[in-house]
Amino acid sequence: MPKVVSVTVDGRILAARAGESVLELLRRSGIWIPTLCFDPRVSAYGGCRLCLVSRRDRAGELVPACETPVVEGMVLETDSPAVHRARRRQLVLLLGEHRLDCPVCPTSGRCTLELLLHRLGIAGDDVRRWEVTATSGVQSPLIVHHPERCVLCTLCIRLCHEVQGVSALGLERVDGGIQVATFASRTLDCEYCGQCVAACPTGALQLRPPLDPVPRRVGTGLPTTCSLCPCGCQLLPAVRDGRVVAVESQLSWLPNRGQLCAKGRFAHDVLVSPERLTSPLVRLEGRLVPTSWERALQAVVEGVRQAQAQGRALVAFGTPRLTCEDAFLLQHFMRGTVGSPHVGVGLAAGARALVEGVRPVLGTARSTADFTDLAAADLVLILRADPSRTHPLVKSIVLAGMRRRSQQVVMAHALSGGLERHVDEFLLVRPLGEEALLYGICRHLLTESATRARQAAGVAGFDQWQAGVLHYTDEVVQGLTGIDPERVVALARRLKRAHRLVVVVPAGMGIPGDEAAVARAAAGLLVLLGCHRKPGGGLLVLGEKANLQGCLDVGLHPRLLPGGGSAEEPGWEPVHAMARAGAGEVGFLYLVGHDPLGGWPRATHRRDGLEGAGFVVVQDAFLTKTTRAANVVLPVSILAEREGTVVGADGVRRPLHAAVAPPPGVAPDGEIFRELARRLGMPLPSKEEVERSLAAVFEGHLRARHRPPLPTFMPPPPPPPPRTWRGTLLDVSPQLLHSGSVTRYSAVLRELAPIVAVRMAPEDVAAFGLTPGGRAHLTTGTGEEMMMVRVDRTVRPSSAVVLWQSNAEGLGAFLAVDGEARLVDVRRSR
Amino acid sequence: MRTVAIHAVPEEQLTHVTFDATMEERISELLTHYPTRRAALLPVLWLCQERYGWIAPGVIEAVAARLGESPAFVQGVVTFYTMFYTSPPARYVLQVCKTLSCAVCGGRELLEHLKARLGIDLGERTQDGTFQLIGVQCLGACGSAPVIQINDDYYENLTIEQLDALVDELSQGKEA
Repeated sequence: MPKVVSVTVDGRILAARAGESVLELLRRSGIWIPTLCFDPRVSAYGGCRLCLVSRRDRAGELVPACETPVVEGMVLETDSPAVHRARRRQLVLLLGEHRLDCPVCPTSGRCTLELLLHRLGIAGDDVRRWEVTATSGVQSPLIVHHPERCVLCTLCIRLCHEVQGVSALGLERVDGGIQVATFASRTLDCEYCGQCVAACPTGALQLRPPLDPVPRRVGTGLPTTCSLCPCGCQLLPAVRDGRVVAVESQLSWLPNRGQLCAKGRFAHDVLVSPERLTSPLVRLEGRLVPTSWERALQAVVEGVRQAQAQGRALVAFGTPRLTCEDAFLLQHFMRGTVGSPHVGVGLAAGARALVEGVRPVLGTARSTADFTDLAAADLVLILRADPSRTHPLVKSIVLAGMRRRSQQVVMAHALSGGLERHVDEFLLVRPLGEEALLYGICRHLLTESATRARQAAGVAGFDQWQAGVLHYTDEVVQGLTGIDPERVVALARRLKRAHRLVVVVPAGMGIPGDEAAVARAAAGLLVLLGCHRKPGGGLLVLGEKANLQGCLDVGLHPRLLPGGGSAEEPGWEPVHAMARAGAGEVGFLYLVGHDPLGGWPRATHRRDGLEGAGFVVVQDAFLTKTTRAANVVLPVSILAEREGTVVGADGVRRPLHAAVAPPPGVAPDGEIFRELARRLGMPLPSKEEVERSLAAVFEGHLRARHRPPLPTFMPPPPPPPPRTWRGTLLDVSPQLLHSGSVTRYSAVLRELAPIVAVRMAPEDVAAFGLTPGGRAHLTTGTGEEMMMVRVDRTVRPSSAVVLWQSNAEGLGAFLAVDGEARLVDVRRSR
Repeated sequence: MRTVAIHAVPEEQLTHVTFDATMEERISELLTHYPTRRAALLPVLWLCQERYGWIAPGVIEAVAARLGESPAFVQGVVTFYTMFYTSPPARYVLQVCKTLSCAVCGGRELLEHLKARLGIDLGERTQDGTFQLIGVQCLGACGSAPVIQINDDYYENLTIEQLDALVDELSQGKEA
């Protein structure tokens, strides 16, 4: 328990928490202290010396507040002439290193240094003008570096190291002194999160125009939630002339505390992409031609009526990027207006993990841990993939936990990523091996700890589960995972010692392994350890798209009703539905934000399903590969154009506030559903009615958190035969800058990370005789492709990282089913 | 006393550094003395400078990878300390003390003499790559001023004649 320490500040007695710094106490108490080099997200540095306060209990000694811990009986002065004199003197010294060119500096007006000059009353005459010249130490396609404005606060370096875990920046001594620099003056090769620029308190680091438009603060909108992944980051689009020109975030906003990734910060140019659809299209004589909304909607209505008249099925897949409101409307439209149970999120990474993995064991299709639990956990086990590629905020949360030394992190997967060099233990599991690893751990826990086994024996399904788990012997587990039995035992003991254990299961198209099986095994392990619903413990399934959790919550799933109940008459699962369509049983196929031809693996009946369906409607912002098969295409609003709410992977419902209007001719998803329902004669509920239903749904979830359903053990499958992997692993799982759909239309992201590229470790590039920037020929048993070669030091040797949707058919066409692992042959192409 | 010449490995041979068994063994041994891998950075860098003559960018990368640090951070440490060479040094680095005690005892004259004799200025090296002249701060041997450090060895109470003899000897390829 934190002890309370009493500290006298300017004659007032304040209660401080033992261990906190003087600066934290003062800021919390509303006392203004100037700082340039302080940021609560990173360790204190004591570099700018502007936070000096005077210790009266030590003869007025001046100490930096940021680096001084509170001590019982401390007497501080923050406002005396001596303190002000010292701060002013320090600021003048800092200005000696800073070129005062505010009138031409784009940062002027939002520059911390400039603000402090005014606030501390430094006049131009006080400053001894030094001619500061320097050459740039940071080359980047995104960033301009002005070292002559840098005061060496090192915020950029510390954020890059401590929050991002990238450490692309450091200090370097050069002829002119010390400056911020990349290694060997190489072009900045990083995650492009832009945090260094956002945190710079002077104009030393700036985004290249036009990424950073000047003036900035014009027509700034409301903060909204990022729609590009389910981390739920809060961001503020800066709007000028009806266009989003930049994206910012603030330290006080949760859950991201001002952090954004490259997608959140730069992908807003998707909104004004020239490739966006701005008019509905209908198929006339085999070609898609622009038409009016009136005629497009009428065509869809006729499609529905025809399917109904023919007695053929009607199927709808909505992307898990739909807002809760729109997802609710879509399932209502299908189940109510159209009268079909075949509605769901389609093939969406994370849906099976939640519905078929978590729900059978823990009772709800929801994660039982949120980001607060993740931060509070003393042990985090991450499976399947590296969150630095799939969910950047999750990476930052565990990095912060490790830095506080309050958290240990163990990661086990077969892929590459940047987090593994920071974690306490990394187990390079063979592809598809995570499930066996988990059951191997369970077996050790059962055999080693009679208490555990006795406690768990009361849980439903225990006997059958235990019998199944016992098949995962050391030999079996080693054959499937490639991990030594001793390491599995050590990991089991480590997990047993943990008080607050969070297991993280990231999902994403292309990650090898069955997400549902891994989630089920992880849930079983947590139940065995009694950590499945503890504060600071639980299972955290990270879906791929922004509102997967919300879509499932409101019943956009063939088996789920709004609120989590089971549908009486379950609809068809996506692959099954496509197979039925291929057999000619589907008269109407409604694809909302889904692109089976580009985004689904080969053996999903994507091609014959689309051919066999009577009438295909595609609702998307872009002309996707699937639109080739569409009868009608309806353009929709995206990202910062949308209103509504989304539920993050942490289960928190957050608002979307439209910052800009969609382009003319483009409609929100929900409006289209409403319009169609009205024309079909069964209007959808009003906005107020929808909100009442959703409020009930989310209140229900809140109640369920306090009175959770009892867990049930689900028996593990019999262990598959062992498999060895020799060759190059094809890694098509999400990449940080692209998840495969919307971000592909961002010109900025495409420049930073070309889409049609294979990224490989430097040693592999050399070993295969490839040249960086040259071309390589990729072949698997089922497909071949030419790709540009990129060297990437974060890629593990013997793997080739390619984007799922990089080529014409979607590289996913190399894979038959999602979760499959496949080897690829890479050759130099001439 | 024998001053060992520095044999700087050319940069071309240091683009992709992999530590051999001896280096790996010595690094592993060093790591046992420190609580974290980062704490072993300076001794590991010394080891590398001893082995390769200087700290090339490729060496920085190898050290960073071995210690789990980023190359940018290791570069910051390397460039902070002037005693790590970031370019290949000459075979003999003449480090003339410029601090007060040496200066008043004839250090300044030694420096001027060396400049004239070798035809180079401070920070420069002779064309044949034998000598490099740098000025350093106090070497902590004021009692025997003037002092010149050559590579890792001190030469104390030097006169111009002794210095000339020393330079002759070293430039003839013999090791003093």
